[in-house]
Amino acid sequence: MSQSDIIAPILSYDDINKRAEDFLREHKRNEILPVNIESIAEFDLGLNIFPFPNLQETFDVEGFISGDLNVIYVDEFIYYQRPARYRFTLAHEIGHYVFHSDLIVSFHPRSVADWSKFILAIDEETYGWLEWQAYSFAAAVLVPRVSLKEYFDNELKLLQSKIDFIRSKGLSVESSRDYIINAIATKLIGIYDVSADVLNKRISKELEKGYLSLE
Amino acid sequence: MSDLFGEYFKKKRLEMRKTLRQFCLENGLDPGNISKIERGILPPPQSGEKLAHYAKCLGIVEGSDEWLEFFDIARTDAGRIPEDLLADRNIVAKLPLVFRTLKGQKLTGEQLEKFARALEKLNEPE
Repeated sequence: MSQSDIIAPILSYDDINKRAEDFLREHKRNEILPVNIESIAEFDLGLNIFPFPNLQETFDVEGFISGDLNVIYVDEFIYYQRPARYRFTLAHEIGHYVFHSDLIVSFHPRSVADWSKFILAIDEETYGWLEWQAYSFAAAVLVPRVSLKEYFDNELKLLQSKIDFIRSKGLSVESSRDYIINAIATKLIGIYDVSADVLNKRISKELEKGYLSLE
Repeated sequence: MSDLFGEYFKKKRLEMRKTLRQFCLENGLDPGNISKIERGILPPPQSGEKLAHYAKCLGIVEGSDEWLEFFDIARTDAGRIPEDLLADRNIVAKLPLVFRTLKGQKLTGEQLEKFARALEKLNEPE
């Protein structure tokens, strides 16, 4: 396989969300939050998880799935000390497992030098697509759309007095969008056990796509 | 690669519905070492005391048939693993295609080389 054979699958945001919903249903994890992604990795997919010392400090890498799709390596500090990041890293790597298995197994470097040359030759755009797909899958699996709508709408109601105040000043709700998203994201951290950043991005994207509304 | 003991170990742990992290935390074990044992990278321990400790962590009752089986598999595998490990030294199959980096950037050539060596070291018996 040459670098030019690496083609990221074409997946829309909605395709990824659909696959994430199916994935949770297949693994019977669509009802209990936070989603137990570690159990899915080990019990359902049979993957091994290995703490990799200084992975992030040395290489700026939080985690990766091995070329034989057998092990998810996670930075040791994240593994022990950052449970939310740990969960997200597992979900992200499972995203590669779900969408990119064919690509990964068809990649057969003959040596470390061969592998290195290959990785360096993958164009940034393709690499970016692969990463975006895995990231979006992780967010969709850990923050499922149906439950997010429910929690978001409830939290939005609790912010109603503040929203009314914003309106009374002649401002649109949209003008306080970032404040509202951040306020709600902060409230939902404990429910989904992901970072505020992941929730902020997830909510923003769902608003952009019209699955959530500030009105 | 021979991983009969490792496979057996992992099967028992999964039957207990314990993730590696949970199992190791509850029993004061190192997840890196246990993962290596489960994947056949590390041979079963030679020490009977350590094996007995592992067996107890896995909920195997002392003196039961399962207890004897656990020790039998460990002895059988301990003699077989070294030659099989040679095959496992081929780290190339384990090298990843994509990494989850903080900034979403690729590694440089020098970093990739260093990374491959670090991964190789991690997949060697101590």
